[in-house]
Amino acid sequence: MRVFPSYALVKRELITTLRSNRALLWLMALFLGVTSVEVNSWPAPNLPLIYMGDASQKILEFVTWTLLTGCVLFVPALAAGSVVSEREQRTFDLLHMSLVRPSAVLFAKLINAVGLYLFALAASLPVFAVLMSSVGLDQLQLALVAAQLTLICMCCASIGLLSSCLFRRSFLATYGGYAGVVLWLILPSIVILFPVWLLAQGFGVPCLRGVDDELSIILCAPVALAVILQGRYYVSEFGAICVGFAFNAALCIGCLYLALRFMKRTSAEPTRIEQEKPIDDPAVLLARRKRFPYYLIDPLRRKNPIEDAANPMRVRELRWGLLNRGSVLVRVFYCVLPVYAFAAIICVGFSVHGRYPVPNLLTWLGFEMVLLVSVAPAMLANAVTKEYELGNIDMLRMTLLSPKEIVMGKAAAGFISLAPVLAAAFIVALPVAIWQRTHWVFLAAGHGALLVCGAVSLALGLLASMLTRRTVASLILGYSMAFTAFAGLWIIGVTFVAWALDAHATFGLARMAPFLSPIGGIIAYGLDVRLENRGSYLCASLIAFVLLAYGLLKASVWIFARKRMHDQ
Amino acid sequence: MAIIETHDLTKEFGKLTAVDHLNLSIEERDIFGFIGPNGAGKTTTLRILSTLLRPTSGQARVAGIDVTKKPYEIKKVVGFMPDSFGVYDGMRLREYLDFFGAAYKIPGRKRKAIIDDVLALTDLASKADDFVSAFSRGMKQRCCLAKTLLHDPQVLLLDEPASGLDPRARIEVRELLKTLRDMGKTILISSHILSELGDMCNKIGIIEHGQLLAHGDYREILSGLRMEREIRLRVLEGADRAAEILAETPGLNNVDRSGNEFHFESTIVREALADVLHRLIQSGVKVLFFEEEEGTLEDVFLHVTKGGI
Repeated sequence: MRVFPSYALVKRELITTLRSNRALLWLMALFLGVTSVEVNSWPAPNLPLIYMGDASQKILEFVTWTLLTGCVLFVPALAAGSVVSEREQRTFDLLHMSLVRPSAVLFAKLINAVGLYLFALAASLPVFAVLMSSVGLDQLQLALVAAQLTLICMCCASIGLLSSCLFRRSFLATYGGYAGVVLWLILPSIVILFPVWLLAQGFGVPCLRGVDDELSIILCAPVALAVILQGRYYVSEFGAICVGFAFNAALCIGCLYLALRFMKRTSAEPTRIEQEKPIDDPAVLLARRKRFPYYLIDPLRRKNPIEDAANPMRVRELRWGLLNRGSVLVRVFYCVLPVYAFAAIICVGFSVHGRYPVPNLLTWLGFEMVLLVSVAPAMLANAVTKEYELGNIDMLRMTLLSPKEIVMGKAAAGFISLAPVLAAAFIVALPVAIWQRTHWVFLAAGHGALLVCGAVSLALGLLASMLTRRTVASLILGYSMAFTAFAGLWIIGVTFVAWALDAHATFGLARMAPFLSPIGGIIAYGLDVRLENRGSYLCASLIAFVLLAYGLLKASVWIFARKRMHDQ
Repeated sequence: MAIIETHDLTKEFGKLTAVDHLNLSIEERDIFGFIGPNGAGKTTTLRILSTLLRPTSGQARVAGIDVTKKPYEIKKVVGFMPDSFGVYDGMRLREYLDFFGAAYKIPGRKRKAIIDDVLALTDLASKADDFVSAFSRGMKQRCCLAKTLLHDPQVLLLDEPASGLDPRARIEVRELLKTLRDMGKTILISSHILSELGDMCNKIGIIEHGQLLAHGDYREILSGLRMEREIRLRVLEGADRAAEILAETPGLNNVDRSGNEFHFESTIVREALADVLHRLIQSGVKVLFFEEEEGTLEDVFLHVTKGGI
């Protein structure tokens, strides 16, 4: 296997990207951001040495986590869009028929996916060099952080590339890339670490004590990064870090090998579509309902014509679009319900955080919110981009549907499609609320926040779809905006309060900053019991986010009417 | 009465002028063939007329309605079939047409009958329950045409409707368009397949670099552009005598003989040509046929356009 990448491809994509104004802006924004954090955190000259070292450490941590977030948000999507976009634009066959080897194509795509990120990583290194000339960092720590980030980036790109070679649609490939990265980050914890933890803590198996710590460093790259940042590699965890390095490198190579295998399959094979006729006979339909998978809405049942009063766009999206056929909604519900129930049993039943119930309930709610926020933006992020990609946008624009009907039809279908996930959460919440009846208000507030999170995520996905023309870009934008809404504002709020105000004022305001996010709000509502009027703050926060979702929907309609009803 | 009119219609994309002060007038019930090389501005013009693109300057009216001021009204009278389009996955043909029928605000009680009519017209009735995404290219073209006809538009704007089709499918599309013409539709059709446009269009417009080089009645353009007529003569007996007569007659040039068959160019009027035939017969030449060779749209196209991009 020749691994030298195709220079022509690298030149066409990466070098073109690096030459663009957008890349320059990204790098400048990163450089300015990192520099401003460093300048802001610069210790006073008369401080004791230990405080100066602490300041350097905090800057390193901030920049590292920022780079990691950027990596997880951007790299999988960029890699996932690389091969599948060639297939969609029908240039893959041309590439396949050229003298460039598949391995060279794959490695060129890998370099293109990680290139900009590694450039950004390299651009941020001089900032640490300045810190090293101060105190608090050593070369080994910096090298380990850079190496770990590079490895994480390569793993994200490899998973993205595997997804890109596996799927034929950019939406599925991008979503598959993100799902793969999330699984890579959390699956080891669920499959290996949780049973080990349960055996060690719950059943007191002595030989397993401490094993879960080492395993988490090996299997979870962000945990290893945290250990490096804490400087624990000096003591005992260096070996685990090295093994983790090897494990992730092997995973990366494995993904690339599989991607190459899938990529070699020719794209010329058309997807076979079975021409199954619709079923009109009620007896046949009844018989099919009684068999697995117990259709409530049989996909082969002849569909009724669209009613005059209904929005055709909503009906189309629901029946044939978002969740393809109505019965998929039911299947989603079937799938999500046991997952939520399992999470509730683990978090609340096994009391992962001890006897006090609120942290346990919060962990369960957090899991529900993460699942919801990871699904919701994608539901509408391709609402308009797929019309461009499938070539249907002109025909849609030529109909008598108004921009509002088109956008709100898609939005309504998105909200209905999210219903099974929300319904499963509410159904599981009922027994939990009965069991933990003293905390039913907290549970109700938590599920209110869950609803708001869903609404905002969907609206952000829809807006992203209006602002872009390609699904990959739309997904990246949608998830970035969701991350900003649910975590970024909260972090910015805390940072701003710490930077702008003196220590006395900071304390009170910093406690209110979590309410800048519905997720932060419910955490502060549950844990910060001494904060007065925290219920009012949570209500205000949720109302503000509902208004934000409404505003985003209005903005989407406006943008579609102004920008998407005509070519520019 | 002109149903499509443009006045100084211009569309610029940055430094590129795709349509340059285009003045066009198409009468009701015309089948207007819009021809030109790639990048000439045909698709841009069609997209402006169908409200999908805003002109930089100038005016365009369809059925007396300004395309920039009342796009919603334009959509009611125009059916646009783009050159490339997709179909929705998982939808059967009837469901696909039902969706677009609902999107064109056709009441539910009338929709089924209309769908049946367009399915019959486009010869797709037997495929009503099939998935559109599994259709062949030709079937998809018909499916798109069926969708375009749903709201019974006065004007059809068809961008390369026969591109990529096999000969049989092309003939079927051509026959379908003739049927639509007989139903009283005005059709503006852009195509590269010039021979087919010649068969069905009564008017043509030739566009290059965004400028309309020629437009009007197809026959008039054809005869106006050809200064010399090409004549073909075949005789059974007396070929030598015929050669002498042709050589003697002023205005007949480039006489090319191949056995008993002659090709020559004529600059003389039709009456004088009739005299030549009379002389040939009187001289005992047994004439099998004596005919003027029809010019083709390809000849006109090559004559009018300069080529180059």
